[in-house]
Amino acid sequence: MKLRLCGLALAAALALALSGCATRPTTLYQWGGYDELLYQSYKSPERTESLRVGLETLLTRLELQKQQAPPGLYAELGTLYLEQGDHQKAVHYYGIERSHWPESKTLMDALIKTLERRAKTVNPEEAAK
Amino acid sequence: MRRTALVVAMALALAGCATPPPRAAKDMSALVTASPRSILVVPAVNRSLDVDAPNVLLSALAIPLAEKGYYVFPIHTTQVVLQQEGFYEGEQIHREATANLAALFGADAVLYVTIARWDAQYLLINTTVTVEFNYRLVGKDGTELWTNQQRLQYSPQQTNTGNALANLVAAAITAAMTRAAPNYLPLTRQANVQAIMLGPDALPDGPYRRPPK
Repeated sequence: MKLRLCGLALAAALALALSGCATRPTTLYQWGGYDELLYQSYKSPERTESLRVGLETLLTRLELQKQQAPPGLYAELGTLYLEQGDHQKAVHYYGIERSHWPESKTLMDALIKTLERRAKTVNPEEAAK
Repeated sequence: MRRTALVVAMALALAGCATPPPRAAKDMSALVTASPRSILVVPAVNRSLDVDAPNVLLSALAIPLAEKGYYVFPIHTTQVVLQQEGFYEGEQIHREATANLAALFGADAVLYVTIARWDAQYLLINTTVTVEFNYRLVGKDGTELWTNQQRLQYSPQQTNTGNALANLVAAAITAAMTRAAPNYLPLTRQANVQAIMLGPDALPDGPYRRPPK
């Protein structure tokens, strides 16, 4: 039922867009249900894993399609890894966010610096390698 | 999953047909002068009794702002950083100087939203759900750049708008508003899209939406 409604609506939206009524590009990005997943993770924290999987799947697909990822999503994925204790992956995704979006530089620099400093104090040998 | 894109697409398609409102548009000169590229969305102030409302609202703000062409700071990451700095509640964050928040993130502007109303009246036959949000965008120097107010009322008995596409949006909202577990996300999404992207006082296009020169 839900699917049918969705398909019907999409068809209607497409028809309207094609009819020349819409004069500007429709959407800039694919979001992969980010708002719904984010809300579900707030409502029930055990669904945070679904948010991480959803974001990772979307970002991998966009990379394959060579499409620009929406602002903020690489950083969100980094933070979800950070919360799981995976600092390396967090730094990795923060770095991608920064390279895609110059506006994020101040925040990403600060986050990456904090994590690298923390890595040094927690595990000085690892950091020295 | 596709529903978000769909709602935005439909809303945009509808906007293409809409005739401009007759009244004079709001003064956007402060916004044009500041021309922010990035927007920090901070947790909302909740004046309703629904404890879930701020999370629904927060989840539904990034997409319309980014689709309008702005860099939007990641919602969850922002919350984590704010909490590490000792900011938990919307009230407390809204009292903090904008310059401090903007500097912490390197943001050009901060969006403050207040939830003025958020209630469902479940009567025997009829149900009316009302949400009302106040939006305020402030530049990093503290100048107010843009404000808007959006009130959206939904009642399943009044969903025939005379427009097939708008009826479909309404049907999606109806499907989500079950008495046992109402899902406010579609309604909130629609309110934000209306306030930020489509309404007469919508936010002007950001740098990623402007046509290349």
